[in-house]
Amino acid sequence: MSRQTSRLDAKKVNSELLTLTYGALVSQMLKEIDSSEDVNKQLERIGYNMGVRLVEDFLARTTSGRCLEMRETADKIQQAFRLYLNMQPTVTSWSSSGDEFSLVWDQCPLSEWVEMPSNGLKYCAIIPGAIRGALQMVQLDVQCWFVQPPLLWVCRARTNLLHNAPIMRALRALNAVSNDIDLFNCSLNEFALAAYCKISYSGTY
Amino acid sequence: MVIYGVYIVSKSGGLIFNYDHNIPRVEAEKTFGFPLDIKLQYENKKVVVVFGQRDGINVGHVLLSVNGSTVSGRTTEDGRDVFNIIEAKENYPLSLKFGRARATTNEKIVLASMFYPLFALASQLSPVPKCSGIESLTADTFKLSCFQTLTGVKFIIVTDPNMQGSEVVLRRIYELYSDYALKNPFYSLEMPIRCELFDTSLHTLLEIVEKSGTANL
Repeated sequence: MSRQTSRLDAKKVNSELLTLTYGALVSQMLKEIDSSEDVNKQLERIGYNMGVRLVEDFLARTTSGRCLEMRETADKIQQAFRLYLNMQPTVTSWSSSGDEFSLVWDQCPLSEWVEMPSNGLKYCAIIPGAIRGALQMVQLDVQCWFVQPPLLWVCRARTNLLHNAPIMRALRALNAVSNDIDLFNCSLNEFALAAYCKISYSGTY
Repeated sequence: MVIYGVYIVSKSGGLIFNYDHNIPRVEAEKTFGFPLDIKLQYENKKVVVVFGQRDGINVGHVLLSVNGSTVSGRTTEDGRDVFNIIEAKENYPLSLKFGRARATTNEKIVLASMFYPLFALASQLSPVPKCSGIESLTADTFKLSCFQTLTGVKFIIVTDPNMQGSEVVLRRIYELYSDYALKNPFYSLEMPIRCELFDTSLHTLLEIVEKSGTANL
């Protein structure tokens, strides 16, 4: 692939081919392995093995140097997503020590047209595995996992004005409350109590 | 633009690929009368010229054959000791063929694992911290260029001393490695590379470099 980059444009394939092949792999694994927890593990392992090899391709193509800082690494990971999956996740939620961040994407080519089964399967578990494997080869030991997606999606505000609008604040509060209790299976009293605790003690809503 | 050989050393220091591209064959055959005016010695399982350089037979050359029969170790094909043949007057005139010894695979593996600590030593000895290690090593008859990737694989080419642009060639070999070796599902990491596609595309690359230089890589 990389050989053509300097002369012709990079060899492009339709993303549907990848989506379908990956879907076939996952569904076959679900058939052969009983527990979806084990499928997640296997997918992570496949991703790891891919990342270990893929990192060489990335380095050979982009001629990027060694990262000396986590933000630089995040940048490179973003670049790799653009290169290999043609999507750009946003980097958010930096920890104050600067050694932890989240990658947020809303639609991944791997999971296009997929109706997720509700058995705890992490469909794209191959991606964290690939990131872990690739970074391990450049002497960075990282942990990579899916955090629960927010229950009610707060769209990214364009202006700070909208960001502080009452509806946004309400959605954020609901998301926060849903971490403590199951929103759809609780009595009104329980909800009121949980919401009250959140709003009065965290003070950000 | 002569490239003598390509070597790839894995992260752990083992030779995973070697290829002799264009090593000139140096051989000289000559008929000698008694007594032999060349001093021979048996060392490293070879019969080596130690003194008496003449007619294209240089010090360091190895005895390849006696009267047309190949020498292996210190015996000829029919099992006679080379030194017994040379010392007996009745065997003369004697036709001896000398040539440069070619490194065997085992010797190359030893040399590759010797380069590994040298590389590390160079980066330790550096007066400036965070040094990269040996990138090029020049002698009067060859230049060795080394490129270490971020993942620790070393690509080494041995070329003519006035070769230009060996970094570009090394980068291209890296691309070939990441394409044809690593994307081959039957290749396991850190193991010797035996991928035919990699071999053929490497040959093509080296031929392009020899014909038209590194300008249009």
